[in-house]
Amino acid sequence: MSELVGNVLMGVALVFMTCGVYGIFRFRHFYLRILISSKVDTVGFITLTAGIMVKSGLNFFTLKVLIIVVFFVLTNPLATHSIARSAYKSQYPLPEDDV
Amino acid sequence: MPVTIVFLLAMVVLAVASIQVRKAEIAVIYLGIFSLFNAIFYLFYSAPDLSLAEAVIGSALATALFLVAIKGYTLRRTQIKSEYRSPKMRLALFGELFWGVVFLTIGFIVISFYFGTVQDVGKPAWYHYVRSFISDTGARNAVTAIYLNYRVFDTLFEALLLLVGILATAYFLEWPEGKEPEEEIATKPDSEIVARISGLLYPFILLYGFYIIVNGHLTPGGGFQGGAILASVFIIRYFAQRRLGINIFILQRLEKSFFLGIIALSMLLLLPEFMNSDFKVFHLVLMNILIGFKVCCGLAILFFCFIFQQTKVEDTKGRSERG
Amino acid sequence: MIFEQVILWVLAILAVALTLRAVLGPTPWDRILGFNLLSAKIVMIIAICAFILKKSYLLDVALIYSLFSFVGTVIIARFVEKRD
Repeated sequence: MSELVGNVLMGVALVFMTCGVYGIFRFRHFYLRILISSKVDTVGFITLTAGIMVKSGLNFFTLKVLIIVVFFVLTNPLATHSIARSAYKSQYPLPEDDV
Repeated sequence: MPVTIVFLLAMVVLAVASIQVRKAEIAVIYLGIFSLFNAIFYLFYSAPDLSLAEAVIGSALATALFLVAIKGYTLRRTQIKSEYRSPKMRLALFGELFWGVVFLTIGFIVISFYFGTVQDVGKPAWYHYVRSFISDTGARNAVTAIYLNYRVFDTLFEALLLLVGILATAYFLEWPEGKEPEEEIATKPDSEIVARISGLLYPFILLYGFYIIVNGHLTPGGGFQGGAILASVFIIRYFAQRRLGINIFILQRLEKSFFLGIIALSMLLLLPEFMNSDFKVFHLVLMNILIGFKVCCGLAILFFCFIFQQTKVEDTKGRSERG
Repeated sequence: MIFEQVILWVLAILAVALTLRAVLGPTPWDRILGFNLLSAKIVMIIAICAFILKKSYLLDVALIYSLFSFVGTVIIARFVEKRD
């Protein structure tokens, strides 16, 4: 049962991340790209690691993966924020209404 | 694993792109990505220690040093160019080239004598190391066994090399004697969010660095990697809060005394009756801790010297534009 | 284990696509974005490899990656920024 749930979670994560990478090539403007990619990528990471945790069961391995997830959830939005802030401070133009 | 062929293609693309690109900052970003792939290669080919070092050094510390140096360089490029074009400088370069060729020739002659006398030792050397490193040294990680026991002499000279390089950098970049560096550099923090969250992260990064250092004889890692992690705490703190809060002279003194400690501890290996099995493990942990602190101090000094030089150049340029 | 292998391959292809974004990206910030997302993909690849090989010490390396890609991203973003 846990095998199946883990596989489904991993598959969902792959769909999320593929959407994120597609969005990076699809959108024409930088701020749209950074918004789409960072959100979708964080969700994909959480889902995929949840799949790994469900598959490996309750042990030391799961605890280590959990620590990685906590760090990633703390740091990845922050990294994206610093990129967007750097672009905004350098007067990168904001997008028009029609995208 | 067959997946590595995909990464290999990406690495070739990145290498070509980093040569082709015109702006140096973008080449540094390419090199950061290249080192990410490089580190995953070390991991796949069973060298996790190297992979850790590459991840820490390549994607964070080397990138930071490159970017600081490039920023300072572009600000004072004209001055440097005129220095390099002088005939005195050219003569000096030619002299260096001449002596280099002479010493290389002598070296080749010496090595060609050596090749005639190589003996056949029977079993390969790794056979001995891999079979007996646990009983010889008490380490579970064969890499630690080699660099802290079998080859401790090499490690001493590597540490000395790092120390000399850092002292030379600090000397040539002219840290002002007796001045309080903090007032020179402090400006207002960059981003409130980054400052707050990185304040939350320091203890965990420090703890993780200590874990890598102290567990170096059991799991991948060791003194150098852990020291680099500890040094990155200073760097991220500078970038988040824009202040140093540290005295570089105290750091230099600390680095030298840690190096003395490393030499004194490694001398204990010459007394085999003193090294019983319990003390061996303790000795490994102690050596790793000393090496880690030394590397941490050294990398922090290097980074702060670079940063100070760059901000000084920025200041003089701003003053000349204003006045 | 075949399913994990498939996921590994897909992640590798996504990583190469992000490399392309980093190389093609018109602005420096696109390149930094590629760097950040690529490091996240590499953390996932290492986590899955650790799961396949059943070696928990590989996760130490993954943690270092996730920390230091953050540090690197903040540093590069700070330096690419143009003031005034």
